[in-house]
Amino acid sequence: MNQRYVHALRAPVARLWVMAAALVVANAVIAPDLLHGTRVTAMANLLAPLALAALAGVPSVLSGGGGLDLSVGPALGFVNVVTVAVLAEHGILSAWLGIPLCVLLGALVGAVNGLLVAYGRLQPIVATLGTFLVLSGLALVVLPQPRGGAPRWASFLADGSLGGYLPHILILPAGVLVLWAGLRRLGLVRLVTAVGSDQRAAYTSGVHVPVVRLGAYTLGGVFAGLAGIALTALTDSADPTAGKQYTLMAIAAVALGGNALSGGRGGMLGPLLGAVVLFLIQLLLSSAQVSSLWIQVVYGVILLVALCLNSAPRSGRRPRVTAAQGV
Amino acid sequence: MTRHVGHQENTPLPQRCAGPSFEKGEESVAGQTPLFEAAGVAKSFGATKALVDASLSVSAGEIVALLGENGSGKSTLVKTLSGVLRPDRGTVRMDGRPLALRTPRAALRSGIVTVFQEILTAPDLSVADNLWLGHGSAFTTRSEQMRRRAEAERILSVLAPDPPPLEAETGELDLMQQQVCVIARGLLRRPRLLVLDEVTSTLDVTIRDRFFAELRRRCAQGAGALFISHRMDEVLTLAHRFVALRSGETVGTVDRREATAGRLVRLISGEQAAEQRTRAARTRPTTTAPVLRARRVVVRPGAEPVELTVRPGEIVGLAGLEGHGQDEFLRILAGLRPPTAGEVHLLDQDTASAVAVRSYRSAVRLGMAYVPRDRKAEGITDVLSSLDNFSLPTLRRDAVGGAVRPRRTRRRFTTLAGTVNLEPRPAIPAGRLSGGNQQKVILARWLATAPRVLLLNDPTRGVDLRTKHELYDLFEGLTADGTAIVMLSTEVEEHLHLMDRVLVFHSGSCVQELAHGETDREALIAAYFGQRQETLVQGGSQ
Amino acid sequence: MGRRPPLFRRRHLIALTMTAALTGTAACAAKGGSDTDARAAGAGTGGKGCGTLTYKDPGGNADLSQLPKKIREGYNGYFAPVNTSVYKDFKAKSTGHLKIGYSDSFSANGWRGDALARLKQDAAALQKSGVMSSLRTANSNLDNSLQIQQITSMINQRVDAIIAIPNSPTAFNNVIKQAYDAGIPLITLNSHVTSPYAINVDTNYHLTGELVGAGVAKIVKGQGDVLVVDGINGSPASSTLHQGYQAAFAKCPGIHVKGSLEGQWSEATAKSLVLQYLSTHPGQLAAVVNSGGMTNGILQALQQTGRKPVPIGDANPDQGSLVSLRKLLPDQYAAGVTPPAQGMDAALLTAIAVLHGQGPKYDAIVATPTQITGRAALDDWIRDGWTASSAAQAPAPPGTDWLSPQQLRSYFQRPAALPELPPLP
Repeated sequence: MNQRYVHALRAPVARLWVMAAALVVANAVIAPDLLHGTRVTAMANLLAPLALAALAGVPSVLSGGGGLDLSVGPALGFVNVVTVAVLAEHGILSAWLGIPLCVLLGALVGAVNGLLVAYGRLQPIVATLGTFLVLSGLALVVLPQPRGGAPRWASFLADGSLGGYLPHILILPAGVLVLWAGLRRLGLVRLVTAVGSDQRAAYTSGVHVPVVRLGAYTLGGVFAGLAGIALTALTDSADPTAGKQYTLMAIAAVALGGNALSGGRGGMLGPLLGAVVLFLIQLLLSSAQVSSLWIQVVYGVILLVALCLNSAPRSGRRPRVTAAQGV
Repeated sequence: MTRHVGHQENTPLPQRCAGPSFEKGEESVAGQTPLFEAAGVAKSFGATKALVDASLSVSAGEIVALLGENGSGKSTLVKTLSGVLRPDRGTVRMDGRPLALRTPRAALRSGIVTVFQEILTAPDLSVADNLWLGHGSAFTTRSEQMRRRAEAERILSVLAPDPPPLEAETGELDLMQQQVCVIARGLLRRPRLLVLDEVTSTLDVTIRDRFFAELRRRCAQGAGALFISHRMDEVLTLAHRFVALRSGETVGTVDRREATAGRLVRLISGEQAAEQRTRAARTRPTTTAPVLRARRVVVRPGAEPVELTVRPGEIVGLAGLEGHGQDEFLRILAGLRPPTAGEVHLLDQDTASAVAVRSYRSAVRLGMAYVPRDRKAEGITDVLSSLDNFSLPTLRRDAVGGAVRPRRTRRRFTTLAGTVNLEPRPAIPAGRLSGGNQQKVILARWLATAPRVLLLNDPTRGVDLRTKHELYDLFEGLTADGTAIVMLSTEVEEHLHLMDRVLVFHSGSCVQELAHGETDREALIAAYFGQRQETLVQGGSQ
Repeated sequence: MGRRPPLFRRRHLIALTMTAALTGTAACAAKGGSDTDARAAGAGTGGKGCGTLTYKDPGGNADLSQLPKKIREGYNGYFAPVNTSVYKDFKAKSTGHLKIGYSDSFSANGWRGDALARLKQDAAALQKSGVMSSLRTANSNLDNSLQIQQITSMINQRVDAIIAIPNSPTAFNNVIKQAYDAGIPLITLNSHVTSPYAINVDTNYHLTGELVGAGVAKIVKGQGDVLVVDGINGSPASSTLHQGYQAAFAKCPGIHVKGSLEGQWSEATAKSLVLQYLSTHPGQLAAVVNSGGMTNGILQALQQTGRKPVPIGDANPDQGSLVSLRKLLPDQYAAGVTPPAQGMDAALLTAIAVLHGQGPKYDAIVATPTQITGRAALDDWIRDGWTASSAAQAPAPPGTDWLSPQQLRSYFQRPAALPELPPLP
């Protein structure tokens, strides 16, 4: 009778829903204040940069060819730094100008990655490692020391309505999901999936593979720009070293979300939930007073377990049967 | 007994389909502009000259067969025409206008649609998405989606009586259905010139015939086709004109009226002797003790149990339409797949003791060797050298005290390369070899284990005619030495002429066992469709 | 399928262009940024005051004039404005059985280790006497968002007060406001934050640097080339110390700061950087000052290049450095000290005083640094068993008055008795 449920639970996204729900309950038991309005907003603010960084990692991974965007973290950190040290410094305090400029900056970084990968034909992991280093350095050049003075819209985003139960920061991930759904509806996501699934099939079918890749990385950059905005909202200031640690968390969230790191398979919901789960685990461990040194160990173990579960054999997939007989 | 392997010359030739060249004939076509024309195409990879001077033309309504042995440059020419490779020299014209085929996209836009030998699908996409991949605008509205789905559905149902569902993930489909998808993708683009590179190799007879009918219909509407196949019967059935490539050069064009299998083979190989190879009769042991026995093996739930006993020196054929259980049966014999019921035993001649095959490893240990069908996915490791590919399962023999002696391996390779008639070039990465030579490397690999039973899964698939004959000779030589062979084949000719017995599968059951010399093409094809012809004597040695 | 013809030249060109484009964008952006070093270097030209200090008000709306002279001097040149505290009239819900949270940003460091050990020792004593009920600790390993989250989690669990060493002066302002809104005062230790809702128990790094710099200037008699070895660039403590050194040397026209290196508060890094510097700069060095704990590395580098030891300034020497100084330069050094145990005591007592409603006057409680020079001080300071190879944090010299409970009274409006803490190590 529960055959169906068992089957449904094997889908990574379903598993993540269950994990997330269980973690919310566990956190609420340990720290009941968690569910108060102001706390909900605070939690959402904390989660937003990580969640957006995870979403920013999705298009590049989906586009295959070993696609991976290591520069997500420094990119969002760079956007954060530029918001405070350049935009605010030059009196660009309006949200209507500032936010699009942040997104544009993210898109620019993504486009550079995309050009290096699609036209420069560099390995994505190397190309984005390069931009990782360049952006980390540039952030320190632009702003050698952490500094306050974020535009006012940052504190508006960090605020919440309805007694805090409607955090304003949710606009950003919601925007990403709407944009993604729109692109999916227009059939553009399918092109990225096709290129990631089998680029030779896509190429010989007349898909302009480099353009699609470039688009995927640029889109990831746009999301990284939004993640930078979320970081500015969270800290209400700029810190040149704050972005870097998001890279590995983002990749972990993408993998945890069930997206194939080889490309071609996966969506947005999985990585988003993956980020939520990682965040809730972190929160739970903090609340339970586990040392941060152990947090990394626990992360690693959870990630490995999740990846093993996600790669469990799916029915009827052709190469499965034959893998054993190569020797 | 004399056996003819290859094509029989009396195959009925096709009615040429309606088109501008139909009434006037070949000679008068020269006066007007052909639909498509390639002249003096050359392409080198470093020092290797893949194409030297290839020229051909296709008129509207015409199906041209491109013939050539493996390595003659057919695939390179196809890649050039499809925009995957840029030629070093030569011109390509459509309606007399020169084309610059810089990318596949450009080729497709000019109306040249290629279906490649490799099955190129995006495995994570649905069937419908795969069919429309790269075609039309990337931006689609809902009504456009509906229209696309309808058209995809229509084309698929034209090709297959039981088409794959549009929503199915393409990677989950079997090889034949994926092949159907890539053919359907080609047809969907309303090609002016359809280039078909070995697209029928995984198709069963029904789908192949439906596809040929559709191809003829498209030609009748004014399209042209360039058709490549290693199956002489298909080529003779379908083509109006034959163009032969040898060592990267066009060596001749033959009209269908003058075409015979023998003449074409001579043209392709450049040898006079290639025609009508005959084989000496060979004594078939029937009295020796069996070496392999399948007892009441049930291939899939609901199917009838299959009994099979194989003696040393026998060649047993497995036949049937694609997906009717012969493939599973062969894998069960190899221990790659557990049977639904029943057991497979290997018997020791001297002690007459039987050991059950429980896994692939145990099968190999007991003296069985399995040569898979899908060389790319199951057999060859592209980046490794031929030598490494060869030595993978038998490396331990060259080890002295745990350390491998490479010279021994090389010596063994050279010996066995001689056996399979392969020029031993151990350092070349296997991925760069032609299909036939890859198959020889894999055969050499398994012959090195000195198997008592050799299980072959369609070993001549995608292999040129001459190599095929070499392989037949090899198989017969092996059986003369006492090796037993069980061979799955999709070629009717092989069943008729090479096998001692043929087991025909239908819906997972063995519906008929036909002995050599007691069957003919019609009986075999009838059995494919599950129709037992009572007039035939049921063969077998049980 | 060989669909990719060789395109080496083109792809390299693209890679280069991209990198150049990125760098260009940032270079434009960088103009907007501030360069504190340049400003500091240009300050002060007078030659009379070499080796002395002049009082510089830190700014802000707080009235420091009523403070005792010694304590007021501690605010001299403090790098941030000092304002009236928002906890002036704060009243806590509970004043006994306190739950205290401690959020640290880094653990692999002797100073932090000693501070945490002292806090645990204090908490154990206070739990016995019923002042505290529990201590929660968390460490973020330099990850800002993790530390924000750990503080958030403390707020969720309703601790009474939080002591924190935030990893950024600005990134925590939101969460500090949240703590304030939840009635939880947040006390920072040696890491000033710009939020008005925190109470910063701090060391005056600027003054420390100026004191040590002035000491060194006196030793070299206001003449010669000086090398500055900083901590980690971008860290407020490091750059404030650097400014302090610059301010001290700016008063001496004969002293030139010839270079500054990023020693990362690591003896090994400092040593290799100084070695590198010495091998490319053959000129005579008059003195080397550093941000703390790198003296040994600097002395070894000098020795290895065949030079004589030069006068050293160390803002916070470790045990091994002190032993080496006694051996090599007993009269030619100047040192400051930022003791972890006293600092932690001060932060904890401040937290308790705030919860007891004593009303802190300012948002920054700044300790008055001391300048240590001379052989006698070293003899006093060094204990039996310290070796030249030890990089452990040296406890403050005996008798150092670093925000003692007695001094702390001056920073509160309604000072009252504070609980007794165990004796200092």
